Amino acid sequence: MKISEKWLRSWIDPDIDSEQLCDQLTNLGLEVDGYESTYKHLSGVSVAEITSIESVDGADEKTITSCTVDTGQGSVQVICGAPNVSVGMKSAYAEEGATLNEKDRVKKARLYGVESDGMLCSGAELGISSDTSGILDLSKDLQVGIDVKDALDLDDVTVDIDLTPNRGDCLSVRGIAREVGVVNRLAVHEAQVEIVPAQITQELPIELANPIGCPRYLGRVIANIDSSATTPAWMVQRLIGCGLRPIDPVVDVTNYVMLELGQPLHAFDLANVRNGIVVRDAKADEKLTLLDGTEIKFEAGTLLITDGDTPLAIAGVMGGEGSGIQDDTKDVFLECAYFSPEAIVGTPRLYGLQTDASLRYERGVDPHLQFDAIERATRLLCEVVGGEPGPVTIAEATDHIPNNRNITLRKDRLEMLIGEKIADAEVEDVFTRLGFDIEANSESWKVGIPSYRFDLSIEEDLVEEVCRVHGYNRISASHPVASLPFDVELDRVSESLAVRSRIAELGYYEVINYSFIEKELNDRFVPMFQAPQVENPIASQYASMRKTLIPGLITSARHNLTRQQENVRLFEHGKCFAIKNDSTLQEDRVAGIALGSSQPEGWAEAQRGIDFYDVKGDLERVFRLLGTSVTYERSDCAYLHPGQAARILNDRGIIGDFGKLHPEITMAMELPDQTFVFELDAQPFTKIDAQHAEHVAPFPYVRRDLALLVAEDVPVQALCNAVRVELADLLSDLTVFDVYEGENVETQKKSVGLGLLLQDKKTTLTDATVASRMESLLAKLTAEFNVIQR
Amino acid sequence: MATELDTLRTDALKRIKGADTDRALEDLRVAYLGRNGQITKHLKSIRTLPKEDRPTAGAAINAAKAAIETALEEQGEALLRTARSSNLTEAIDVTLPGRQRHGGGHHPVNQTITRIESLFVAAGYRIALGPEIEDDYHNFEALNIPANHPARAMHDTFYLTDGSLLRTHTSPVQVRVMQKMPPPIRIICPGRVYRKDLDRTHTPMFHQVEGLVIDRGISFADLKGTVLGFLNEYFEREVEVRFRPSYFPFTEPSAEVDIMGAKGWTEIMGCGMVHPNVLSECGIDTEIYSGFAFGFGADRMTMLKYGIDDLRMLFENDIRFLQQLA
Repeated sequence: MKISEKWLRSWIDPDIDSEQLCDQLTNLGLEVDGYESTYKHLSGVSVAEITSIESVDGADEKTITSCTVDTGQGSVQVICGAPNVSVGMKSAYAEEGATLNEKDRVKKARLYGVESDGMLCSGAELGISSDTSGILDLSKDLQVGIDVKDALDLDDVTVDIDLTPNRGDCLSVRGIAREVGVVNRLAVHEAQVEIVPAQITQELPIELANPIGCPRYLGRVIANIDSSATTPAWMVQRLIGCGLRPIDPVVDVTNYVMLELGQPLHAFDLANVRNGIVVRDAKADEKLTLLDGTEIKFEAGTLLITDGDTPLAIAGVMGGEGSGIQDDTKDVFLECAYFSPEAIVGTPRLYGLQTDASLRYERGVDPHLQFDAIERATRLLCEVVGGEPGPVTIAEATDHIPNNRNITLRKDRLEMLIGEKIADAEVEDVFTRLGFDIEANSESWKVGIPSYRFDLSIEEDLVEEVCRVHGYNRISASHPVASLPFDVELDRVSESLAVRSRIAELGYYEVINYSFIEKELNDRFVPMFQAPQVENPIASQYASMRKTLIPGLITSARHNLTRQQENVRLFEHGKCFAIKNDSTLQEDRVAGIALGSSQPEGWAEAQRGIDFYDVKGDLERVFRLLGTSVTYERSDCAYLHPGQAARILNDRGIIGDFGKLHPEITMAMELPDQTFVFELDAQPFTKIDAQHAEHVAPFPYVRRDLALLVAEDVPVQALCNAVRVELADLLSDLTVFDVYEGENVETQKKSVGLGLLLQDKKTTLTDATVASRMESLLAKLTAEFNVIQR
Repeated sequence: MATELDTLRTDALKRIKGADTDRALEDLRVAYLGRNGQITKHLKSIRTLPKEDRPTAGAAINAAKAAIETALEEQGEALLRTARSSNLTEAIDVTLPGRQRHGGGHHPVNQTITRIESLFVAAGYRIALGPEIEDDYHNFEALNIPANHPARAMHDTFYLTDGSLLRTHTSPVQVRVMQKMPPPIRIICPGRVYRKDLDRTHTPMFHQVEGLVIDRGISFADLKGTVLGFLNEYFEREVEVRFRPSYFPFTEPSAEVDIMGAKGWTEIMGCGMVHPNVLSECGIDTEIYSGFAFGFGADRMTMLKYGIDDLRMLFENDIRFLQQLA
């Protein structure tokens, strides 16, 4: 909330400057976002005297005059349309370049054929009153040439306080003043509230049809107001100091009392509420046109102010257009009610109507404030617009009005929770300054909480009050003393760290993309099942929870490609989402994208574009280092090129796919043809498989190479697997050293070179053993794959 | 006989010394020591000698053989040395760049999280993770934020069409851990969180790290010590820190923590003593146990540490940005 420092200081005026005051508030938990001169946008306006007036030709209807004005630095000519301009008058002169508000700057102009050097300003134009009827008529005693801000004491400072939702009691000058009083040990100059006696007898009947939502409603008729009255400058300036614009005198008074005491009030035009007031819940589909002109349709249960039949206002939120104060309102009905926070909370959000009143009612209003507030408002109204007040009509359901609380605070509990002893005398002093009643015994305090501190209800709340006033920064720091059990339940490193590190080491940069993407894109990449949808996305392209990480990686790759980055290798680890069998799955996945050259440009080797086997090599390395054994087969993954798509499986099933992006996708997304991606379930990499270390045998290795001619559609993995099975006891390593098709190889055949490293772990292999084993291996490969040894 | 052997030996040693290739040396080895080599022949001929002459002759032949073997070995080494030393004067350009590999590295925010995790793990904390699609109970109600609580306005929540929501903080992980295991609890909960907000300092998805300690006798002073210790370690300097009263529905007392920077105080984290309603909801006896919790934005910590002023930069994934901090 914004608050006028001058107004605050009229209640409490510690001998500190604005900055210190703001620091105090922040340290009390009333965080000051900033403070600045209320009139910082007003500049270049000074006191000037009108020395002569000539009427201007060509202006119909309106009185237009050309005035010669003494600015203190010479005479200027100003065109003026105000009816109250007169020779000898002192007014506010805005010179060329002057600013009146955030956006408007005064310029020289030619009006009705006459030059105007600047302008003479009304109070409204300067933003210091609501008076638009003419230019400011300043005291003749003021010296010409002085800044109008100095002349009118426009030196207020507006302090912007970011209040936490619990401190509804500080949404007023009185509330803030109390806090300043506590910290400075000063008494607050409370506004004097005097009962305004009734001058007329007129009353409106009030019925509380929902006494839980509205347990107290005070109403008062004020008859025969002067509809031509304007709000006095002092009041306007205080409103402006608190960030409010003046509207009309009646509304200004209700706003003023709300800012001063924290009690929202509402003024009805009595002519429109003749039947009386019924506070009740809305029936479904009831309608009301609001003060701002919008019509809303209610949901059942919204608390309304009605005249029995027709809704007049949404309780605690906003009034209706039909019953509001008009320019010609003669009689006012003033409402000052206590609505329970539970009855109002949620309503502003439901209808999209946040108002100064709803802010206060949602957070809580002092349940005993209404009697003072209606008297204060009546007195001010009568001062500003005149009128004859009637008696206060009281409708109450006292059972539903919160009682003042007592909270017990145990001394040992206080010390335990703070971690050090704060002397009993200081605790009691803090409570006294806060206006709490205390009854002490040796173990505890019974603390009586005033009605305005409705945020306090449990012992810990009082612990915070003690800490807060004592000063958080005066409490010493210690370290928790704890046992250090080993715990297998929870992790010691983030489970994704190992796989992320391996991929990063291979030359991929980790990216982070939003978890929501465009629905169409999501479904295009993974058509099989539904994705959870965001009901209120920040934009339509963020409406669908991603089923795959690939589209995000593509976006990131595109970002870099368009910035002349030709070698792009990126990866991301994060959750992917899906709805399967009516339940929402949230699985960690890791995915990457690679395009450009296989290695950075250099002098030593020729550049080569990245291909399928570069990416496969990267993945194999990751699997090997993380101790995961996998196999590969062809994949039918929707976003991959069908001829360069592989599926990765481990002993538990499919763990992912990789390959070249489908040409339809690279075309649509403006990516190079040779763009490769992979996406894996991250789960297999979260727990390190139990690995077993083998004894290193001391016997020599024997290497045998096989050059095999085989049909081109036989996967090399099948040949390798057959070798592994046949030579399970001897094979130490198997290398595919050559794959060749073309010259010297018959069509539809390929030549595959396998390098076998053999070792018997128990003895030295003899040539004879190797020869016989190779012979049976060849026989098997011939039988199974029809190979021919070259 | 002796003379013949002496001649053979002298001749062999001379020829070996003169051999200038590995090949020539190998030929000599075969010529003298091979199966049909001259020394081998001499050895074979011993059998033809009278028994009494054999030891003397054998000794002489073996001595010649040993001398030839030594000479072969020495000459082999000499040839190798010559070969290896011959290019000692040939120099490559040591200033040429080495063979390059693609860069790569972790995202700055994840680096921050990893580092924070390790700081807390070293202090005896464990890491706990949880789902990002959450239910109202774990994200709000169990944390003392009932429906329509004004504090819900502090969290601009994304809802899913089935009524679930994207977690607005990682606090639901705390709830899940407290409901699963008894105190003592010391955990760090890092992860992605979501709020409906987008400007220079807000993105609709960001990262939080929250901490929770529940044990006997845990106090506000312990919270302060923990926060101060962590901040000093994280920023690697003595940080000027301010605690000020604040409000969170799930802690009481609550505090905001500011650190002093070049532009004055900067808000960096929220914390407080776990609210008794939260402990009770999780089945923890508030008369026996107390605890504290704290939470901060990992993205913000990253920005402060590396001097980044626009949060959105973290999610553009520009390689030129990423490689600076990789």
